Amino acid sequence: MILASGRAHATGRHHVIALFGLGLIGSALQHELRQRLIAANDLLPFGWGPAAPFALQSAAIEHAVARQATNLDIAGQQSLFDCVWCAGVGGFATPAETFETERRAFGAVLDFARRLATRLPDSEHTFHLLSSAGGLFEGRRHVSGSTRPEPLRPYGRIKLEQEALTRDLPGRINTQIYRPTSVYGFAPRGRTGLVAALAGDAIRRRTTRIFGNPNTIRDYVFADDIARFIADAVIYRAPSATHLLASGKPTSVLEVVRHVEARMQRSLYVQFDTTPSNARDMSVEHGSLPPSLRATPLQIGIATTADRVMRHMTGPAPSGG
Amino acid sequence: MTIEPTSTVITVSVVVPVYSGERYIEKLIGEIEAVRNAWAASGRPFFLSEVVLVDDCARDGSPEIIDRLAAKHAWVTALHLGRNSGQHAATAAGILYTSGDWVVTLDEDLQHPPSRIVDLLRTAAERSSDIVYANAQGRIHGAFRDFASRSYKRLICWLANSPHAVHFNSFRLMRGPVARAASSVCSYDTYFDVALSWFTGRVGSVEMTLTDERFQHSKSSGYSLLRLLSHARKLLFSNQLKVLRLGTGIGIAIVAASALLAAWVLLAKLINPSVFPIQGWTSLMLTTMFLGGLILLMLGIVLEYMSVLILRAHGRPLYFVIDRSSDAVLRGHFADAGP
Repeated sequence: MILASGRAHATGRHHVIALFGLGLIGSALQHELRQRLIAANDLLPFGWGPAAPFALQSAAIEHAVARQATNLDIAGQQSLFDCVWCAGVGGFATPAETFETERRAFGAVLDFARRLATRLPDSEHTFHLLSSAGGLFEGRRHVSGSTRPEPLRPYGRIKLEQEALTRDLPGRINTQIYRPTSVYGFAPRGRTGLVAALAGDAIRRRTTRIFGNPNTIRDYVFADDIARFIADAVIYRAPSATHLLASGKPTSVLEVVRHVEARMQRSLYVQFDTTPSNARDMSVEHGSLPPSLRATPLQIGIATTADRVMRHMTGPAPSGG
Repeated sequence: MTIEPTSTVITVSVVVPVYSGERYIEKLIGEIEAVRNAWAASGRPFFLSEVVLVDDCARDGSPEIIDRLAAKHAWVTALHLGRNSGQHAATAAGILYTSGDWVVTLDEDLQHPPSRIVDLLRTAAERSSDIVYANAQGRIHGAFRDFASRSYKRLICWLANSPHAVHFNSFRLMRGPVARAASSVCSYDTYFDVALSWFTGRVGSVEMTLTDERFQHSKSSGYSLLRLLSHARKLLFSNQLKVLRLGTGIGIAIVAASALLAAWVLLAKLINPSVFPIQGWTSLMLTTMFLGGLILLMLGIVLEYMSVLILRAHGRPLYFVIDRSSDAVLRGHFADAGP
């Protein structure tokens, strides 16, 4: 996990942010916060293994946060504390028992947020949870803010459970729950999304196995857009809410493949799973999206992701001179 | 009125490209809403789930009306293109924003009645068609334009070996995956209906009387002569034309004929050296015929290669897989409903 603290360029207020999970969204958020805060980052351990000492780890993080807050108090400023959970162990096909570790880790982080709220009563506390629209509304089209979640798999059920636990936090902790649809982008760590996998395999000239069919419809949303939205919520503060984060544009897998092909300027080798475990359509009603979510057009998002994958795989361009 | 689709219902999306429709769009959306409500109220197994209005850099006040309609109805999506890209580009852009099992495209000016969508759907279900066109009967735009349009389409049918080109019409019902796949591969100069025909051969049509109200009242259409010519050019060049093969065939025939003629001329000259009194005629004739034929042949081969490359650039796929399993539900419904 990352513990970031610093003053926001836009508001001048001091923030302490505990960011759990440095996958696709976590690393995009870290990058966004680095740009928007005059910040110092500490990388603190938060292990996942079955024998991970959650109590010990969260105590160390709590201690570090309290130290940051005390420093601010000495300086006579009120700190804003944000805890962001964008971690997770599994995906759509993950069996229920695998989520036990995630359940324990998430519980430890919620306890940590509660304890911190008691220990630092003068600070403003917000808990941010990255849930999943794909998990909650799998197989549903025209999902809107009023659509009731009906998860079909353990992955969706644990997200729903996490949402409920988050809403149960004490009233003085503001809660922001985000339900992103199919997130794409590139991160050196964590799970690889469809776009990054296609771009990477195009460079390696390998076949990409797709768990769906060419006509499967999804709403692809760029990780940078999600990160920008969460960073806004961190910096500008807002009442507790649940946000459906999507592009509002239903997109078939075939369309994504075509865009990646065009960017990589080569044919892609794809294999569609004959018994797709994840082939149900999902789309979001355009009118249900938060007005402040500025969705990057798919072509641009794909081009940016493909470029990042290329840069990562081929190394930095040689300097001139 | 809020209507929500269930996850099992078959959904229909509507796409309307808009260029100069300020006088018609609100009425059109009213008609579509009436169809939507009627379908929902009668418990049909299909549902009109969304309308995508595509502002093709309209030349009148349509963009504001589109935004107002999208703000008023959650099922209406407004799209604004950066520049005037043409009806087919706007249609493809709109289709890529749909998620329906079926997609219908309509013109902005009420010449395509939304109440007839159900007839297109019935034909698609009964014949397992992937695309159904409205086959316009009677006079639409005036005798000359209608005649020219039909004749040109017939010519394309023959030139491109495409029997369905005669039905090409902007009032069409398409299976959602086919429509989205064709829109994904469409490039700058691709004629949208030609791209559709690369994905399926099951094309149907429904005869119906259509009237262009705008043309009847104002004697002007959304299309200028220049635009119509550009449309015709696109239709011609998106197809793999017989003419290319014809060129190669003529080249091969001439090379073969020149070889035969050469053999005969050579033999005649050997048997009777005085048969051709003009000195050098034999060799000149042989060389001209052979080289002319060879050039035509090579040109034909180059054109064949080019047509393969152009079709690849246009995005023609090797194959496409279609799932028609949900048609049984529609067939059952229409069988119960009667004619």
